Amino acid sequence: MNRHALRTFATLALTAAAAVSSAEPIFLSRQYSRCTNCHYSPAGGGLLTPYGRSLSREELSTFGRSPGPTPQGREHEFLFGLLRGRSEPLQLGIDLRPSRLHFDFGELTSTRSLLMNAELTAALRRNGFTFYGQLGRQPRGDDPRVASFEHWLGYESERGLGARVGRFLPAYGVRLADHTSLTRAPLDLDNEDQVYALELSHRSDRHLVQLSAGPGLADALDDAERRAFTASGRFQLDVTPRTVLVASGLWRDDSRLEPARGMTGLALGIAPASRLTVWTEADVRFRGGSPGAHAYAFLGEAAFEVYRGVWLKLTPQLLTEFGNGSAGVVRVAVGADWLVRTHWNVVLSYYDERDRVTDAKTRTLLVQLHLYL
Amino acid sequence: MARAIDDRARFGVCGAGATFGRAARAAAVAACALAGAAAVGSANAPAWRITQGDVRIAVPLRPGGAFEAKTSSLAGTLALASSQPAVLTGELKVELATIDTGIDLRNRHLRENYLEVSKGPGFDTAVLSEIRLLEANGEGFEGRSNFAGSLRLHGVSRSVAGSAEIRREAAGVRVVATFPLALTDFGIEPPQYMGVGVANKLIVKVAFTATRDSSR
Repeated sequence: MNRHALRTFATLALTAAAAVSSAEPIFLSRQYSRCTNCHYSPAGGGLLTPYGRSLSREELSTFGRSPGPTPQGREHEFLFGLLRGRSEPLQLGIDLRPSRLHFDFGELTSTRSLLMNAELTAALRRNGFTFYGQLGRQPRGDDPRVASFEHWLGYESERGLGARVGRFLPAYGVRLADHTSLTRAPLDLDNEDQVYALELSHRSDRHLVQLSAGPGLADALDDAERRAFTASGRFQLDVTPRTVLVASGLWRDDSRLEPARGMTGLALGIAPASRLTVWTEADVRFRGGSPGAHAYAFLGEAAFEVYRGVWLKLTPQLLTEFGNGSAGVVRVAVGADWLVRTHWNVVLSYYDERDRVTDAKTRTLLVQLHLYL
Repeated sequence: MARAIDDRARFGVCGAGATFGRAARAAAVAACALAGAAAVGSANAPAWRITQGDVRIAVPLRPGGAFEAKTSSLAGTLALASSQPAVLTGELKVELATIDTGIDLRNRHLRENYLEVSKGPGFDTAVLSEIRLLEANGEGFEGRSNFAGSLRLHGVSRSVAGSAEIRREAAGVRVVATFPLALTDFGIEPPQYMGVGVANKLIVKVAFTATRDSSR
C-alpha cells in the first residue's frame, strides 16, 4: 500500500474518525457568509446557536419546516426540546455520527462500522462573552480517547472587535464539511488538531479578520519533540452577500521532529443561485530547509440542492509533493447530503483517489448518519 | 403647470407597485429629462412608465455578513414637471409582499412582523414621490445626479436622498439609483431573532428602464 492510500485509509477510517461537527459553507447560497450566524465558533463548525438550530429546521431540512411565521413547538431545541428551555441561557448539544466505511485499495479491502463522532458541547453567551466547552470521544482503533478537544473563552464588542483564548481550530481558508479535504489535512487541521492560541478578530458588515498565535497543537503541548509555535491569519471579504473572497496563511515553527512549515492561499466562494454554491481554494505549501521546494493544493467544490434539503456535491482536489509538481495525489469526491429533518442528516460520500506517480487508486465509500441533538 | 399637477394626481392614483424609490423617481425624472421631456412646466410634458425594474436592498446582519432582499415589483409613471432642478411628478411603487430575502422564514418574518403588510394601505406598498434630481437640467441630461424625494413606508412618510445614474438606451431610459434607509425612521424596529439581527441602516438600490407612456 502506498503512502497516499495509507493516508486515505488512516484519515478516513482511523484517526480522522473524530471529525468535529462540520461547517457548511454551502449555505453561502442562502446568503450566509459568516459562520457565526449559525455556530458559536468564529471558525465555524461545532455547536449550533439557537438561530442555527431554527434555521436547520425551518429552512434547510426537507421535512422540518413548521407553518406560520415562527417555529412551532420545540423540535429544533436540544433533545427535541426535552428540557423545555430550562437549561437556558446555557446551550447544549450532542453530536453523534454512526458511520459505515468501505475502503478499497486493489486487493486490499476493508469494511467497518464506527462511531465517528460522539461529543457533548455546551456554550454560554452573555454580554458579548462566550464560554464554549466540548467533551468528545476520539476513536483510535481499539483505544478510544475521551477528552475535551475544544474549549475557549471569547469576547466580541459591539464594534466587532473580538478576542478568543483556549483550544480551538485556527481559522484558515474555507472550512468544508469534509475535514479530510486536501486543503486541510496537510496543515494538521483535520483530526482533533486544535491548537492552544490567542485569537484576535475584527468584523464589519463586509470583512472579517482573524489572527491567532500560540504554542501550537494542543496535543503536542507537553511533547518537546513536536511542540511548535503556530500562527495563522485569515481575511474574508464579502464582495456581495453571495460572493466571498478569503486570503489565509498558517505558519508552524520548527520542532525537533519537523522543519518550519506553512501554507498560504486564496479561496473564492460564489453562489450564483439560491441552490448552488461553488467554492475554490488554491494554496501554496512551504517548509523550511527546502527553499523553492513548494507544494500546492487545489480544491473545488460545487454543491447543488436538487430538492429541498438534498444536496449533491462534487469536489475535485489536487495535492502535490514538495519539489515535485508532477507527484502527489488527485482526489475526486462526490457526495450527497440529505438534511432529512431537524437533528438528523444522512451523508453519503465516495472518494476516488489516484497517486500521480504510481497510478495506484484508492476508493472509499462512507455513509454517515449525523445526529445533532 | 396645471396639467402637470393633474398628471401628478392621476399617476399617483394609477401607480401600480410599491415604490421604493426616490431613486426610482429620480431616475424617472432623469429619464424624462434625458428623453427630451418637455420644457419645464410644459403642458405637454411626456410621461415615462416603468417597464422593467427591480429593487435590491443590502441588509447587514449582526453578528456579521449581509443578505440581499429583492423584488421586481417596481412600477409607476413619472413626468417632468420642471427643471433646474428637475422635479418629477408621479410616483414609484413597490409591493412589499413580493420582497424575497432568499429564505422563507425570513420572508415571513419580514412581511408579518416588521413590515406588517397585512395592515393594508400605507403598509403593503412603499411609495417614492416628489422626486427632485438636483443636478439634472431638463432634457438631454445624462449622467449622475443627486436626488431627493419622499418615501412612504410602514405608514410613515420621510424624505430620503441618494444618487442616480441616468443613461439613454434603445428601449428608453435606464436609471440606477441608490439611497440609504434607516428602519427606525419609518417606525420599524430592526429585526432581531434568536441572537441574529439586522442593522438599522440599509442600502436600497433601484434599477429600472422607463419608456414613454403612449397612453397619455
